[in-house]
Amino acid sequence: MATLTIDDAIAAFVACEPGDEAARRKLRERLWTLVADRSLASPIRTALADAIAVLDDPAEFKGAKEADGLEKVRQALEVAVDHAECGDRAVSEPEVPSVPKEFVPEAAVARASTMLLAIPDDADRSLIEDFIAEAREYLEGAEAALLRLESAPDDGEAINDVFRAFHTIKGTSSFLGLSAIAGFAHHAEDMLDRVRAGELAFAGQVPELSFRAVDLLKTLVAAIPQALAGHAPELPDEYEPLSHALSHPEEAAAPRARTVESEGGSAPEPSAADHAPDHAPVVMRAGTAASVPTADPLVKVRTDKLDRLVEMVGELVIAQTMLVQDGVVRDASNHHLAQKVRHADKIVRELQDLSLGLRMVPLKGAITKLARVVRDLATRSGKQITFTVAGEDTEVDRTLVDLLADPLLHMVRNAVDHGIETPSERLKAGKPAMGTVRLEASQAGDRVLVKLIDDGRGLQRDKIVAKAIEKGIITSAESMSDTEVFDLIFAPGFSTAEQVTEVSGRGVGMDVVRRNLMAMRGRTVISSKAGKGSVFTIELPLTLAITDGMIVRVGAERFIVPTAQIRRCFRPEPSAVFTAQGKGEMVQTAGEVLPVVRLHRALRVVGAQEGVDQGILMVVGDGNNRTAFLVDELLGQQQVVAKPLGDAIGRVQGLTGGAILGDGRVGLILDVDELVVASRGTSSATGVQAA
Amino acid sequence: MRFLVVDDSATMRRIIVNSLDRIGYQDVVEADDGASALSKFAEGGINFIITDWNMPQMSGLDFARNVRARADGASTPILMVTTRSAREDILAAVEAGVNNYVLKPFTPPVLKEKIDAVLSVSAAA
Repeated sequence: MATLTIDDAIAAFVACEPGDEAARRKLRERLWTLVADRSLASPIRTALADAIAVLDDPAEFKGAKEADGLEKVRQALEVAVDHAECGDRAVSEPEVPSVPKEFVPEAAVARASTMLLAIPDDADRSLIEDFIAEAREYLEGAEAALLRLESAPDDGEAINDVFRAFHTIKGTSSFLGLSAIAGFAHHAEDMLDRVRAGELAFAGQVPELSFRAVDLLKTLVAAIPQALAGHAPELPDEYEPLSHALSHPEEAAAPRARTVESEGGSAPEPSAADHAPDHAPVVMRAGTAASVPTADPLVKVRTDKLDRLVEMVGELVIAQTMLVQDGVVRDASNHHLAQKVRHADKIVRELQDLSLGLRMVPLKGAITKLARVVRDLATRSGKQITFTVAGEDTEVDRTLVDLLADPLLHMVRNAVDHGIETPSERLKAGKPAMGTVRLEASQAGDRVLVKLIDDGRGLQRDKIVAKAIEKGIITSAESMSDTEVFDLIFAPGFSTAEQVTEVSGRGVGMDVVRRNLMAMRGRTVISSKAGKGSVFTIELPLTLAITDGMIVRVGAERFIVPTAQIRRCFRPEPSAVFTAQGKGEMVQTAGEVLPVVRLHRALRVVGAQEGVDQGILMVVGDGNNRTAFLVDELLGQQQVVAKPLGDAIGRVQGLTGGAILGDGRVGLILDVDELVVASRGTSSATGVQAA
Repeated sequence: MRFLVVDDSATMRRIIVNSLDRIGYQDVVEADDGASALSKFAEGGINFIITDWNMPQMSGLDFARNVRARADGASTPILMVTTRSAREDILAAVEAGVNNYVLKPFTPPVLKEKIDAVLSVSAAA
């Protein structure tokens, strides 16, 4: 029943006195009813929709612009009336003059140079906190989608994901008075909307601008707590130029595309050419950061030169230590000399920190690609998973980032494949259908912690035991604690490389993962709760250039044990040590029974203590590999620079290398892992053999 | 009067639910995507739907079409929450059977006005 006609709309329009917002709203509602009336011809409805679009945009009626806004509404209504009167007759204008598409609500765009937090007094602070967490998730999602687009620029779903992140952040932040964020997100959303509509290719500057937009939004969101506390930070310098670039991505893209064309001559795939495919995603991102005009100038340095520098600084530190520990200096009879040595010492330490810092890179490189792995795996297995990352800016030695890739991949794969349940299983268990996998990196002293936390079903003791028995790793799990059982997944032969290759193309077994981590003086810890999820933790040193070592005496020899591998040291009661049938010497300590390795026997050193209760037992290794080393004495701790033993000596079982100690003599560094494995090989009846 | 609020953003749902509370509507069912919203709608008792436009998997428009395709959903008022109002959007929303839409950000009074407008039109029809 079309009780409403265009005449009613005209009447409502005439009633619109300047400043009468209520009248405008009434007009708008009448227009809506008309648009919804399908008995009207479609050109009429189109014109009426134009009028609504104008009325819905607050920017059109701001102060002095109000008259212009009303004029636009009038024009649209006139077109509608024309169509109504002419019936279906072809109108001279081929298309109704569309309302300008760029109706960027000026009101929403920040003009001030600060965060502009106009939070209403009655605003719910917890709502803003929710928003911060949610915005981060959306931005992580956008970042992952952008990475997918790097390899598949036509992935419509990924474009949508990026768009939705900007869109949602814009919408929500506008409610919270976060106008700087809303304004910027709006520009980003607009650009992605054009990509979505096919107006703009995801090529040229567009990927780079999208990444930068995500980064800037992250920065803005991260600044909200500060702004809440009353210290609204300045907007980043990039804010204005990037907003502009997002609105005009072609300006930057056009010349670049042309260059490619003219140089490439016959470049048949412009999108691929625009896309600079010879750059890995991570490298492109680094390039993005470097191209920001405000960034400091960069110098490229060959990594081998850098490594050499770090090595030489390490030598300098040792030389300095030797100097400081020299008897003449320590006597302090010469006050001036002592003062000069202290001064030099301070400079050397600072130099050491600086040079190590040169090789430090954020973990981001090893982490960002995991988002994609999670997504692919989840899609394939029909699971719904949110992957979030925290602390990806944690810095570690460049050499470690590459080495971390495999272990992280394994952990993530495990969490997705075995941890997170299918949506229906989760719902049955009373959990949300969407599982979460969270990666957290952080620095604790001179160690880096990478945790992978999932809210899945947790490790299943029964399944692990069954598989371990099937693989012949154990014969029974009766006396094993949960921790020991969980640790079986790192046993040689438990997981196979072939499972991994289908995803990563270069997989290794879990045992190799742990061995590699131990070689980096890292460790792995698993904790898990049935039905609640698991936490896998990787702990690594920040750098391999310098080792914190415990110097121990065995007979007349001194050895260095990397401190990170020592769990604790104790002097055993004679009664705690016993010989188990077929397992060799064991010690009972703190509720666990550990095999004892007499280092003097393993390393063939003479003159050491034979009585276990006369020496010190040092517990090393992780999980089921925990072993007690018998040494004569602990001499102290020192930072050492590890050196290979040299070609003349070659590789010696049980040693990773040597280092110069404070007194100028050489100490040998023990290969803890190898010693443990070797001792198992000769004394263990179950025969855990490396594959 | 029972509302069904559909939005993939939990923050947005809270904002809408808080706004509804301010204008006197406490009976609200929430859903975070179109599929679960449909199953909640199928349970019955929903008198008014407020849905986001842009959601993963099923968009607000598709959700609206799905509701309209149901025998019991032909006349349930649907208010769309959106951030843009262009000619194509308005027409697409109408085609999908959306009764009206409200632009973000809105205040509780504006939401009330929209709800009242939708209710008065559907009462007249």
